[in-house]
Amino acid sequence: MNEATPTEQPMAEEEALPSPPLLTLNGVSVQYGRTEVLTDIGFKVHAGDYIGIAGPNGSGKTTLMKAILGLLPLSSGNIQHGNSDSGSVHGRIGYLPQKAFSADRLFPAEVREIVAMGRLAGKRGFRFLNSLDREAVEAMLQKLNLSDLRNRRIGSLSGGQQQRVLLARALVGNPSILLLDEPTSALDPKVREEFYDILGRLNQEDRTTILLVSHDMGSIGKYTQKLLYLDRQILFFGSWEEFCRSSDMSALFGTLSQHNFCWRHTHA
Amino acid sequence: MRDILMILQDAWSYDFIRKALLVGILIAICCSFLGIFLVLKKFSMIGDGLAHVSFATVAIALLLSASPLPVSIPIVVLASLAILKLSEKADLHGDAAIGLVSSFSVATGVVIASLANGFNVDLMSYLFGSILVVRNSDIVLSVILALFVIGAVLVFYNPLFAAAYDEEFAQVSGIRVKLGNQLIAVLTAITIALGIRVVGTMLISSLIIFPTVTALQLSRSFKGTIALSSLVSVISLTAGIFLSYLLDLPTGGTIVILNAMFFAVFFGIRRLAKTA
Repeated sequence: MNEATPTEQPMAEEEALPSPPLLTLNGVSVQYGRTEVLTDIGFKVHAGDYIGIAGPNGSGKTTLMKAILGLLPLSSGNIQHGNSDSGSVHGRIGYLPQKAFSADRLFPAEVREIVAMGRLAGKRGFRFLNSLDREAVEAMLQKLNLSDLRNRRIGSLSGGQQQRVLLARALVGNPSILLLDEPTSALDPKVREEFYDILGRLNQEDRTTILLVSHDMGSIGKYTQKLLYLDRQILFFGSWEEFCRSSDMSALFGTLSQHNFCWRHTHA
Repeated sequence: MRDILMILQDAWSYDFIRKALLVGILIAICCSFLGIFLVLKKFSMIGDGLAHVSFATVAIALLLSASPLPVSIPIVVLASLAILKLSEKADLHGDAAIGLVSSFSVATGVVIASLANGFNVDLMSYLFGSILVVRNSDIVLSVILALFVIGAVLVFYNPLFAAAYDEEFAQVSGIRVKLGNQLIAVLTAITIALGIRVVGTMLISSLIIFPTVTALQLSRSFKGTIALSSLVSVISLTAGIFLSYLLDLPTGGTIVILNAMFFAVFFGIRRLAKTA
C-alpha cells in the first residue's frame, strides 16, 4: 500500500500487526482548481501509532489533514475509517486546530462549555447533551488537570491552559485517532515541553493514536515514533530509525540537520 | 409613591398595555437569544439593515392596503438570506453587504411613500414604534412567531453554540454550519419584522445589540450571557412601557434609553472590578 514510500515497508511487518488499521488512505489526490496539491497519498494508521506529519511550507500538510477530516473533496482515491468503507469521519477523529489562539479572547464560553462541544460529534439531530456527556466532560477535565478551571472563561487562560482545554475537547468524544495541527506553535518552550509530555503519556499509557502535523522536525523527531514526510506526495513514511538510516534523506536535509532530529534514534 | 402605584395599576387594567407587554417581552427575549450570535459573528448591524428592509415592506403593504406583517416577513426573510449569501460569496464584507441591501430598501420605501401621500402618518409609526396600538390579529401572529424563534434557538442551541465558537471544529463534528447561519438569518428576519412594531425601524437594532453587549460585560459563560441579556432586555422593556405611560414619553425611545443605562452600569461595574 505504500507505493509512494521510497524505502519499501516489508510486508511481514504489516502482517504481524494484530489489529486492522484505524485509518487507510488509498491513492488520495486533492486538487484546488487545476493545481494538484496532493498526489497519490497512501498510508495506514494503526492503533497506538504516534505519527509526525512534516513537510515544507506549501507541501500540503494542511490539505492532507483537511482531507482526513472530511472537509475537502478528493479528486481521486479514498479514505477509510476503521473497517467500514463509507463510515462517517464524525466522532472518529479528535481534532485540535491550530488557530485556537486567534479566537476572540472575549468570547463568552466557560472551559466546561468548550469541552462539552467535543461530545456533539457522536450525536445527531438536535445534539442534546445528557448526564453521561456531562460525566465524560468532568472526567476529562480531571484527567487533564483542568477541574479547577472548569468555570473560567476560555479567553482568560494562558496559552498552555487553553491548549489543554482544546485537547480535552478533542479527546472527550473518545475518538479513535487524535489529530493535532501545529499544536504548540504559539507556546513558549517550557509549556511546549509540558504539552508534548501530556501527548506522550496519552500515547504510552492509554494507547491513544496520534497524528501530529508540524513543520518543526526537531519537535516531532524528539517525540513521535513514525514520520510521514510530505511534499505534495509522500517522500518518506516509516519509523524514525529507518528515516535516520536512510541515505536518501541526507539529500533532502543534509547530514548535519539530519543528525539533529535523529539524535534520539541513533543514540538511544 | 402611592400615586405611582395607582397609575401603574391603572395602566395594567388596560387591555392594550397587557398585550403590548406580552408581545414586547417575547420579542425582547427573541432579540437576546439571537443577539449573542450576531454580535459575536460581527454581524450586529444586520438588525439595522433588515429594519430598513422592513420599512420598505411596510410601505409596500400600506400601498396595497394589506396587513404589514404577512407582507413583511417573507420579504425580510429573503433579504436576510440574500445578505448572508452576499457576505459569503461575493467577496463583500458582511457590513458592506448589509449597507447595500439597507440603503436600497430605504430608497425604495421613501419612493413608495412619496408615490402615495396618504399613509405617511402610518409609516411614521413604524419608524419609531407603536407597540401600544398593535392590532389583535397581529398579536396572535406575533406571539406564535416569537415562540417559534425562541423554541428554535433552544432546540438547536448546541450546534449553534459550537458553530459560533469554532466553525471548523463544528464542521468536523458533522454540524452543518451553513445551515446554522441560514437559520440564524431567518430567525433574525422574523424577529426584526415583529420588532419594528415595538421600538420602530430606527431603534430595533439596539434591542439586539444593547442587551447582549451589556451581558457580555459581566458574564463568563455562553448560557449565562443569554440569560443575563434576556433579563436586562425584559426589565428594560417592561419598565419602558410603564414609564412611557407614566410620563407620557415615546415607548420605543424610553425602552432603548433604559437599555443604554443598563449598559453604562454594567460597563462601570466591570471597570471597577478590573481596577479593584
